[in-house]
Amino acid sequence: MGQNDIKLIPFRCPECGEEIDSKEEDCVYFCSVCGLGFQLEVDRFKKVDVIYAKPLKEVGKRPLYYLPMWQIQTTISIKEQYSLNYQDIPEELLINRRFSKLLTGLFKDRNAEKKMIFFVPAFGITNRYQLMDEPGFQFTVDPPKLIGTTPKHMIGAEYTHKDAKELTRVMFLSIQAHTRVDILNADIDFVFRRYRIAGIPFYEEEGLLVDGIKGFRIFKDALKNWDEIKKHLKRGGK
Amino acid sequence: MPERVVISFVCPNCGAEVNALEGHTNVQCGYCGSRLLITERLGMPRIFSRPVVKNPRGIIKSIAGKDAKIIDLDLLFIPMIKLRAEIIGWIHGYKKGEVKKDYYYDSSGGSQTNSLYSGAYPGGSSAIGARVVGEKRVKKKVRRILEMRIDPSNFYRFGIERIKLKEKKFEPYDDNLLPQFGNVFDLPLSIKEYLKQGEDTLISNITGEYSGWDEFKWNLRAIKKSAIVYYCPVYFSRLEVAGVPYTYSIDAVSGEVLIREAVVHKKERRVIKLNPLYAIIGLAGVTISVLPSVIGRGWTLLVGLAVLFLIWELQYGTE
Repeated sequence: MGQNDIKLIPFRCPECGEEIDSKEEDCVYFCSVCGLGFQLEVDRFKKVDVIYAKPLKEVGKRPLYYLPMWQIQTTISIKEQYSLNYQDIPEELLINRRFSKLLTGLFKDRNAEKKMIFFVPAFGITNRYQLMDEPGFQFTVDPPKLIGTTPKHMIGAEYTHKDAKELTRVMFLSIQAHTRVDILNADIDFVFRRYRIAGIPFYEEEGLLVDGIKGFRIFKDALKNWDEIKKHLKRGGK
Repeated sequence: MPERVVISFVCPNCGAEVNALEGHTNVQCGYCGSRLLITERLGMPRIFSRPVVKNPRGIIKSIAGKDAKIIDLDLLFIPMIKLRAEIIGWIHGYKKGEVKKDYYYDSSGGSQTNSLYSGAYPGGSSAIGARVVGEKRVKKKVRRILEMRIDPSNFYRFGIERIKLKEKKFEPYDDNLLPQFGNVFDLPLSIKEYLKQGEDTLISNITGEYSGWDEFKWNLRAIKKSAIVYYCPVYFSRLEVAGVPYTYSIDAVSGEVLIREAVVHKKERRVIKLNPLYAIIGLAGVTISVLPSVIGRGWTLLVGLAVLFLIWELQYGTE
């Protein structure tokens, strides 16, 4: 693309015309009025599906901070056949029957296809993110049923859907890394069916951030510039 | 208004001219205040800090001594790239352990030689066993956000890796302003090449931890790569102290000395390495020619045989 092809696009919601506040690193932007999400594709904004999840836990009157996560529906198939039994799956994953069944089915049956929903954080993280519960990983192992609510103020997403797809592969391999079977060289086929942004509510508790869906925790400094994000969200996205 | 303008646009809202700095995608129209997005990022952000040190000669003389003769003193803006990237993927490796023979106690009294075990075996009679020590396995995902500095002027040895960036105030690079202070070093390579170089280094920092492992596979890549070019002002001076030439480089913001070294043209010292074998042969020759007159022929023969044995041992003996 030459310099002549580069354009300037007003930072306004394509739906309602409201001006959007964003950071330099953002890739997906959210309108604080109509809740629409959109990302740049070549030289125009393209709509991204967004669901603002209603908290499923009792959060009381605590303020909620919505953080974006990519929710990617994927079909995975493995060409080779592996012998993976329940005893090869670690206890923390075995607790979830549905997931254990999915893993064993995927590995044991030749050309088996399994649907998986991956949750990949789209907000800017630091290396501290992996030191706590990793809500994205936990949601992938045991996907929550998200109930939509009215649009909320949400910070922009720093990971594009392409980044999220890469992270999805890494997450799948990290799940199998917990098992005793080595499929690192396996011919794994990922078909990305659908993707959308899920706005996940978080609240502060005992110096940590806790998700309002299942109660998984992350350090506050697992988010890049948490103090700025907090101020920004309290101002109502302005 | 900084002058490092990549491209000028027309504001889609009011028609005024909007100037975009390199490396940025978010701009604001100076006339109507509209916030705008550039559809492609060009280059990478460049920033610089202003020189603060007023008396670099005084700093040099306070360290080098009053007799130091300053030959030249220049203010240079040296570029330094700070790269940030997220490395994602997986690593999988195995390192064999060492088999160590060991004593342990067998309470049953039966012999269990050559069996593998770990940990102490309590009570009973002793027997020789073996255990594997230092065996390691790794099988995990990698997701690390890493930062590194690339010094494109490394060849010139200005010591800018010692500059503390966090303590400095930076402002957008200005094409017109910087030459008023001093000379500006250009980046010898393109930005893409530095990004690639940095990515390779970051990945090798991770894989390097496992060098020497018996089996190691990895699949790592960098996402969300970003970089900033810092232009750091440095005073660079050549001077002479008591006839010895020196080079000094001083951080022009903090006044800290970054490099202070004597320019020594080292003379190559001739090192004669004496092979012990030849030394012994020479010594033996001298001894055999002198000894018969001192200790008699019989003893000389014995000494000669002993020396020959020693030479044989040195040449062909087992270690």
